[in-house]
Amino acid sequence: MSVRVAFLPVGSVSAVHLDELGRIPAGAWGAVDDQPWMATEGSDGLELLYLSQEEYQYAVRGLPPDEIGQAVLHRRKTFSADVPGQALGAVAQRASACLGHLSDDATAAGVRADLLNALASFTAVNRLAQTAPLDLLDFLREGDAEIVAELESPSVRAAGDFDRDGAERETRRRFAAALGQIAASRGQPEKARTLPYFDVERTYFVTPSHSAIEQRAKIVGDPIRAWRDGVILPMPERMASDVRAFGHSVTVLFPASGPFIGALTALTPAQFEVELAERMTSPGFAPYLNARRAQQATLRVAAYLITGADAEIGRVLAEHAQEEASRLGTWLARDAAQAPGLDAMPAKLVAVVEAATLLVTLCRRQGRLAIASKVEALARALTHVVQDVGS
Amino acid sequence: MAACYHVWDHPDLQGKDAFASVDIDVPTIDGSSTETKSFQSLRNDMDKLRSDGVAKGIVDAGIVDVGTSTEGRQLWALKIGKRPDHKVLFTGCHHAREWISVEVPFLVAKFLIDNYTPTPSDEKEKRIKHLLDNREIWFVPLVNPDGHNHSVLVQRTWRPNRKEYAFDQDQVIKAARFGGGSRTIKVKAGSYRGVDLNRNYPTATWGLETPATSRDPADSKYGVWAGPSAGSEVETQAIVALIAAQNFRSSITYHNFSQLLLFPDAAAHDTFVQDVGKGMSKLIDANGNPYKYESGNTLYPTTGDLMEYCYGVLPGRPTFTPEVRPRENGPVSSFFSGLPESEIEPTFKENLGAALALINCAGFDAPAKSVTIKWTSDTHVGQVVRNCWKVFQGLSP
Repeated sequence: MSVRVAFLPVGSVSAVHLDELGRIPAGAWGAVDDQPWMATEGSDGLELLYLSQEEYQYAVRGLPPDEIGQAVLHRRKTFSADVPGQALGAVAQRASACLGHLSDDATAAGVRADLLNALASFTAVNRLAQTAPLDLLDFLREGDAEIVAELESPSVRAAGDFDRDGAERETRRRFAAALGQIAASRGQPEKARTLPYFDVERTYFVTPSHSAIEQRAKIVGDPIRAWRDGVILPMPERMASDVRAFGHSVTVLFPASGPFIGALTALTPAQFEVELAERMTSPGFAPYLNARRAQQATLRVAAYLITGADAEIGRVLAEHAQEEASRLGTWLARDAAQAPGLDAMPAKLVAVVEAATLLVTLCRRQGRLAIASKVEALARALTHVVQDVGS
Repeated sequence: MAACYHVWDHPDLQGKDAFASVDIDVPTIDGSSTETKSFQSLRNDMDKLRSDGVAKGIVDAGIVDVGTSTEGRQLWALKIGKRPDHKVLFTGCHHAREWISVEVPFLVAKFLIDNYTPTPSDEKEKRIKHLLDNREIWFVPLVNPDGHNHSVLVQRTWRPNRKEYAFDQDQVIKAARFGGGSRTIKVKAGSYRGVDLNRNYPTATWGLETPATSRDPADSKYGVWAGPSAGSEVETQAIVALIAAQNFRSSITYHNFSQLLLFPDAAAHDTFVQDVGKGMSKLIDANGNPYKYESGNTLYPTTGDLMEYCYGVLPGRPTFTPEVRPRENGPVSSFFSGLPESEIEPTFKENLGAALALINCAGFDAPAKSVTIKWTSDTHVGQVVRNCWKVFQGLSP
C-alpha cells in the first residue's frame, strides 16, 4: 500500500484517515493511504502535498518546526493548487529517474530501451509531433552539443570523473555529425561543417557582489538573490575567470540557471537556506547531467517515433537510440551514488505506476479528463515495462 | 476574455471554434519537467476577429499576415479602421518568452471589434466608433512566432528568434561600444542560433554594444545578440517593410517585465511625444498599479530596437514600449514567462486606456519629417493631450 502526504484544510472533512504529521491554523497535514483515498466517492477535502513520505522528509530536512508549516503552505501554492497540471510531468520525471537504477548489461539495455520508448511515446511525442523532421534533428544536435560542452567544462571536470576517457563525448559528437550530414544533404550544407555552439552557464555565489554582473543578470532576465556577503546569480562560465581576476570569490552553487530558478520557485526562504548550505559543498553536477542525459535519450526516441516514415532519418535515429540505450547505463552509473542494478528498478517503477494511478483519480475528480487519460496511458506503458522485467 | 495564452496555431484546434483551447505539456520554467497548460490558437482567434470585423465593415479581409518567419510561420496581422491617413501600429512578442506581450495587443484588437457599433448608444460606443471611423490600426501581436513556439514546446526561457548562423572557422569581431570604445570578440567555430529581434532593427546605432546588446554570437543563448548585420532577420524585415509602406503616425510594442512605459531617448525633449506618453502613463496609473514612465535608456541602453527605429524613421511620431507585468522577476510572478493566466485580463485592462490614447493621438497632425514638433503654445499642447487621452479616462472594458 502506497502512502502519500496530504493536507486537510481547516473546515474541510475527509472520510480518509490522516496520520497527522503537523498542524497549522490553515489545517493539518499527514500521511494518507492510497486505497481509502481513491475509494472515496467524488471530491474529498484532502489536497495532495507529496507523492511519498520520503519526498516530504527530504523537503523539510533541516528545518526548525515552525518553518515546516511554512514549507507546507508554500507547497500547497506551488503543487497542490494544480495537481492535474503537474501530473504528467511528475510521473515522467520519476519514471525517468528509474533509468539510473539499471545496470549496463544487455538485459538492462533492453529494459532501458523499453522504458525510454514508454516515456517518449506518452510525453515528448505528443508535444513535438508537429515539429518538422529537420528541426527535430537540430534539437538532437543541440542537446548532444550541450552535453559535450558540459562534460568539457572546467567546473564539471574539477567536480569528478564524468567522462574521463571521452567515450561519451566521442559518441555524442558522432551522433551530431551524422545528423548534420542528413541536414546537409537536405539543403542545409553548413550543418555538415559545424556543430552547434553551447555556452555553458552556471549559477554562482559571487562575493563580494559585482555591479556589472548584477546588471547583466537583470538585463537577460535572470533572477538574482543577495546571500550572506555576496550575491547568487547565473552567468556564463566563460565570465567566471574574469570576475575572479577582479578579486571576487566565485563558487558554483547550481549547475545551470534552471535548477536555481526551480529552487527559488519551489522552496521557502528557510528551505532555500538548507539547500544552499548543501550546495556550497556539492552543486549537484551528477544529478543534473543525468537528468539531461535522460531527457536527451527520451528526445531521441521521440524523434525516431515522429520521423519513422522517413527511411533515412528513421534508420540513423534507430541506430543512435539503440546505441544510446546500451551506453546510457555506463554514462549514468558512473555518476550514481548508489549501485545500480536490475533488482532495484522494478520496485521503483511500480511505485511510479502507483503514484500515477492516484494522480489519474485526482485528475478525474477535478474534471481534467484529457490529462487523466494521458497519465493513465503512460502508467499502462510503464506497467508493461515492469512486467517485461518480471518475465 | 482570454483565460489562457495563445500559441501561433495548433493542429488539434484546426477547424475548431475560436477561443477553443487545447492542453499542451510545456516545459517547466526550470527545465526539469513539464506542466500541462491550456492554450488558444492565435490563428483561429485572429480569424474570428477578422470575420467579426469584416461583418461590421471595419476590418480589411485581405490582411492576414505581414510576412513569414525563419521557419515559415506567418506573422498574423489585423487591419482595423477606416481612415488610411491616420495609421497606428501595435506589435507584440519580439521576445519569445514574453507570452503576455501577445495577449495585450490581441485583447486591444478584440476590444475594439467587439465594442464597435455603427449606431452607438452610449459614450463608450461613441468614442470607439470615432476611433475606428478615423484611424487605421495594424495589429501584429506575435512578431517572433518561431521563438514563441520554442518557448512553449522546448525551452520556456527562450527569448530570441530561431535563426541559425554557422561560423566555419574561428573569427575575430571588433565591436564598437555605444558611447565610445570597442572590444575584440573571439568567435569560436560552430553554429549559433537565435537573434534578438529587438536588437536587429537597422537603426543608426545598430550593433553598437551596450550591456543589453551584444555582437558576440555566444550571447545568442541569452537573447541579446544583435545578429550578423542590421536588419538581417526576416521577422525584422517584415516589420521594417510594413513601417516603410504604411507611414504610421504612432506605434507601440509590448514587452514584459518591469511595469514601465518607455519612450525613445531621442524623444526626451519632444513636446508632443512627451505629452502623449505622460498622458498614457496617467491612464495606466489610474488603474491602481502604476508603471514608471521613463526613457528606454534609463532601463538599460539598447541599440537596434523597434522603438528607436520607429522614432528614427518617423521622427515626431509617438512611439512607446510598455514593459508590462510583473514588476519584479521572481517566483511569485513565475519569472515573467508564463505570468499566471489570472494576470492576463488585469494586465490588458490596465493598458487599455493608454492603448486607446495612442490610437487617438494618431489623429493629430504631427508632421512626419521634422525632428521634433514645435507647438506654438501651451494651450495647443494641452488641447492635443486632452484629446489624446483624457477622453478615455474611466473607460471600462
